[in-house]
Amino acid sequence: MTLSKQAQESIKSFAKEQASKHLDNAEMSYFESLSQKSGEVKKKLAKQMEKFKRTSKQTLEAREDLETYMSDYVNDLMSQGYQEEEALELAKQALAADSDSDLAANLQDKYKTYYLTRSPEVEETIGLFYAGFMFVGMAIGAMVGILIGAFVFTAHFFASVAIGTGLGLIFGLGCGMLKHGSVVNKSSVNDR
Amino acid sequence: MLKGVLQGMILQLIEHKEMYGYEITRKLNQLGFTGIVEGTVYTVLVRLEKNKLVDVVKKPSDMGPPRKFYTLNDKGKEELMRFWEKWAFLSERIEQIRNEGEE
Repeated sequence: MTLSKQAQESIKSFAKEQASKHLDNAEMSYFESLSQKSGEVKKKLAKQMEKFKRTSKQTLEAREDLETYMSDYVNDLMSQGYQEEEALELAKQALAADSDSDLAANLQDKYKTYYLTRSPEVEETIGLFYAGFMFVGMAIGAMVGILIGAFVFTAHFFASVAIGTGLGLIFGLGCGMLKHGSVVNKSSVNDR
Repeated sequence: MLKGVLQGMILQLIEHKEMYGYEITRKLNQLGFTGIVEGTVYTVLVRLEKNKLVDVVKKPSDMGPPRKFYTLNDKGKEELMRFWEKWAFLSERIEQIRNEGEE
């Protein structure tokens, strides 16, 4: 049974989109099996896997492979009495790589573990740094605003104070963020 | 179905004779595994190739791109042996649990 040109094109574009996702899933599973080995071996092999990054040839091969497989499936469905369009839709549903791939699931697990294992002390420290820096920033900003309003822009005293306080608040927030980053970095280094 | 079991079945099918991707799916369907999603079989095949458990030979097809025919290599045969060992252990234990329940 020969498929129409339109169906062939549809299969081609589907394979182009999905083949690399299937490759990703397979690669991730390989990593999972590697993770059973010791850390050193895992690192070595992970490096090798880095070198083994997909080449265009490999992706093209995967595409062709999926195209053939899908064409077979569509033909099979059509021989069962499905219309070409219906068969194509069913094949697309069956052969779409799982969006919640192993890779994504693994990443979600990492995030979950990270947020669940963060200590309350670190959280509290980060919060206090934010508050501290913001208050200090506001105080400095307000003082600078008062001085500028009193001696430079006397006609716009309150505006100077407000702008100074606002800028101080932003400065404090920035310092808080920098400290936040440094605390997270330190705690993650200690965890390793 | 557990992917590990499906992989074992596919390895066993390939050990019997050289097969191409969709032929394996069709064979599984004939055996009564109608609940198997075609995409799952395809993903397992990609994984088998990636883990170098199978040898692949390309042959021309009337579909357009060449077909990949899979055969089991030595590494694949070892994996298949391991699968049957695990299967024997599992089925034996399950049977044991069932018998204990009857006592």
